[in-house]
Amino acid sequence: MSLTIKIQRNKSDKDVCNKVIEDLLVLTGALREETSIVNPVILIETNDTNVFKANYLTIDDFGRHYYIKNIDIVRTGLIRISAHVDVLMTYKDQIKQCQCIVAKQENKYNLYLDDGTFRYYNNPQVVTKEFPEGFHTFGYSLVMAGPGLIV
Amino acid sequence: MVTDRIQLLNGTILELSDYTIQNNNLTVNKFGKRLLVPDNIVEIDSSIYNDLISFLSTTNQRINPFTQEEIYPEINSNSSIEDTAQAGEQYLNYVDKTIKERFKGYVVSYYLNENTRMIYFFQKTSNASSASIRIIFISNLFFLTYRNSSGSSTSSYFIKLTEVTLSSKPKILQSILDRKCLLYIGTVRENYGNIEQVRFLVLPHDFKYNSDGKTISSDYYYQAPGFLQYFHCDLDGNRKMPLENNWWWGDEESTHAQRVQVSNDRNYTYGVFPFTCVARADGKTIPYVRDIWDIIYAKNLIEFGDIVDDTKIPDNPGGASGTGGGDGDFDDSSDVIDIPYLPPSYASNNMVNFYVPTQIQLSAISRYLWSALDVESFKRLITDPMNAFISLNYIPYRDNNATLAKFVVGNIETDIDVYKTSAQFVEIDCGELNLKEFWGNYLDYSPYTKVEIYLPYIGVKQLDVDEVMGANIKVVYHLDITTGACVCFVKISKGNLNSVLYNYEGNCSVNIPLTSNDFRNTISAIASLIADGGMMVSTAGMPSTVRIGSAIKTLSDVYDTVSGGGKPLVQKSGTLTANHGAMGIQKPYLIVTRPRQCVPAQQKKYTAYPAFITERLGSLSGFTKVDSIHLDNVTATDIELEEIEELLKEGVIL
Repeated sequence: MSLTIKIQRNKSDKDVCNKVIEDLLVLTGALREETSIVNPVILIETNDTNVFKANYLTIDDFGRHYYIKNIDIVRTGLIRISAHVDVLMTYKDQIKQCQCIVAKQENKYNLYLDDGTFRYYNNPQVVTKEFPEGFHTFGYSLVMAGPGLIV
Repeated sequence: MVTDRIQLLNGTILELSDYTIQNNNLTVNKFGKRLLVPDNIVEIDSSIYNDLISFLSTTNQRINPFTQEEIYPEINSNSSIEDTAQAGEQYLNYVDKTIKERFKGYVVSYYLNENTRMIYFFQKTSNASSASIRIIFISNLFFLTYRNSSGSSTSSYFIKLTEVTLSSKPKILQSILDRKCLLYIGTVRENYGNIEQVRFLVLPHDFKYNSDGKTISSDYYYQAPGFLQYFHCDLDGNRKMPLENNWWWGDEESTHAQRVQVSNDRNYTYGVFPFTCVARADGKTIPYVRDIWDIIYAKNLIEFGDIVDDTKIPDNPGGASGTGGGDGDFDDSSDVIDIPYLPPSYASNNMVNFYVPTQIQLSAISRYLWSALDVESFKRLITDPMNAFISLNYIPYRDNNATLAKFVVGNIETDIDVYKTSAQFVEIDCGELNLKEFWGNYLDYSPYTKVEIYLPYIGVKQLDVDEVMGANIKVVYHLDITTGACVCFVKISKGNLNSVLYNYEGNCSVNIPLTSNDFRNTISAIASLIADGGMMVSTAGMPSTVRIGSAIKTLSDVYDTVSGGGKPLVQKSGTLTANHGAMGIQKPYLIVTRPRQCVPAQQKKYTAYPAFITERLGSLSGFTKVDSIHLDNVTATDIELEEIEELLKEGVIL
């Protein structure tokens, strides 16, 4: 099985779906041993030292992008690359079509949902707000018995 | 033709009597809107149907699908207003003519107004005993005329037609109902015969316009599954389209819809979009026709729902468990509980006389009693003149409307002029405060923020922060000047709420002892108050050994969740009535104890903020954590699917 492998450098965080990828090397070869497409281990023959700067690869024939987990030098010019599929980058277009219940979001949110996102210091702020009016004057109240009339 | 009993989602049952079909006349009269089917209608067969769909599908391409002739000239952003209007007119005339000529006899009803063309027709279904009414929008009526910022350019767009068939609508409607929504506008895009996407505009009961009075917030938009675009429109009479951001009509993935981008530099003159619905259940048809304007103006969500099959009898005579809930009436109206009127005074019943003497008048009365009472007058008193004095109080109120009258003791009218009043009950309005949110998030509410109120002659009382935050708080006292008894009303106004939520009683009179016996009673009353937990320190004339009430309760008493939990609740005052109250602060005030928020810079970038909304991931950007997702149509292996779900729940950057 003939394969084209792009040896690349990924500058984005692992959490990023749409990663910024830089091609370092494009290799063409044949797959001679069995390997997983989720966790492929591939032997490549190259003297290009750019391969050691790589942390990412793409195998279009597999339709997948991969993180390089490890690079072993088997002998001079023969390198074993262990990789693991980057599901976010590989399936980003299909994932984006999916609808979901969003628990937390950077740009669309409701700050009245109490999920413990906001923490607070243990010394609270105390303020007082005075009402505009109150009791201003004092006077006497005298209650007298009787009709108030002289008989 | 119509054989089913239909239950609407709002519980309304449509009986057969709601539909009548006679002599090929179909009348749907349940909702007050009658649709009459002419006598000469025949059921449309599939070839005619396809022909019609084909025709309607290509009307936006300016080419007559049957003659391949150009329908109207090219219109672009440089076209004049006149050219635009002319092109629009030509287009609509063309559609009119074609519909009437080519599909004569098949069209049930043809609606035409300024911008909207709709046709109704029958289509045969697999069930020969039924037929469905389908509503087709000929031009998906987005006939848009706009001017750019310089006012020099206009153009028109005709967007593709839309067939409206909502197979999943009941479920969507239930979602709308769950969200307490008032009405909706929906269209569905048809894609090669398969309905793919639904869009809805949903307005909740309490929707409000933006500050411009025209537009509504995008928060009110509900996106049905599979659709990601916003559609902004207001509902005022001008049908003026709001300008918020550049927006797109159409969907990125659509191969049918013509995409129109409109920038913010244009001033729309009008734009209309069509909306209505028709349903077709599995194996059955539900005729339902409704004019959208009825829906809007009725402001009543009335829709079709699942067909009720009442022929099934449960095996369990006791009845199997069933579904329920969600059928609240969403009535969030609130009756106004206002501050009551003052009660009538009994000051004029001639049994007692109410005076509000000044200091000088009081001195004159005193001098009269102790020196000016002659023997003749004394005889007319019958008894001790002090028995005529019911009470003398010092109160925080002066009646400016009192009138001068001769002071009367028993049966003796003296020469002393004293202010006399008939107003036994008076109102003291302390005004109102608006308590605004400080953080603008949940920390402004319980259990994080605490609000107390100090009320003169009553003390410090705790208010429910959830009730008073963001509200106008009004304080009014009603005072009985003869006894000093007072009631304080705290009225809360927020949203629909405009009611008295708190009532406190107190006493604001300082009793002035007239005899030694009175003085003993006064001291006894004060001591009793203090023993009940009053916190005021002893006052002049009181024994210094009187023990004040406990200011801080024991730990077991006071720990609660207020102020973040575990904070001691300190009693800030005891009973502040009478003598104590007179020496206290005379204006009410709020004591707000709020947490000090601790937010690291760019927190939302790293942890995001709570959302709990249903969205398509493609419509989001930035850090996102998923609560629940169905990874439909993701062609990954099982292990990969698990990893995708796990990563989405941990948070990804879109």
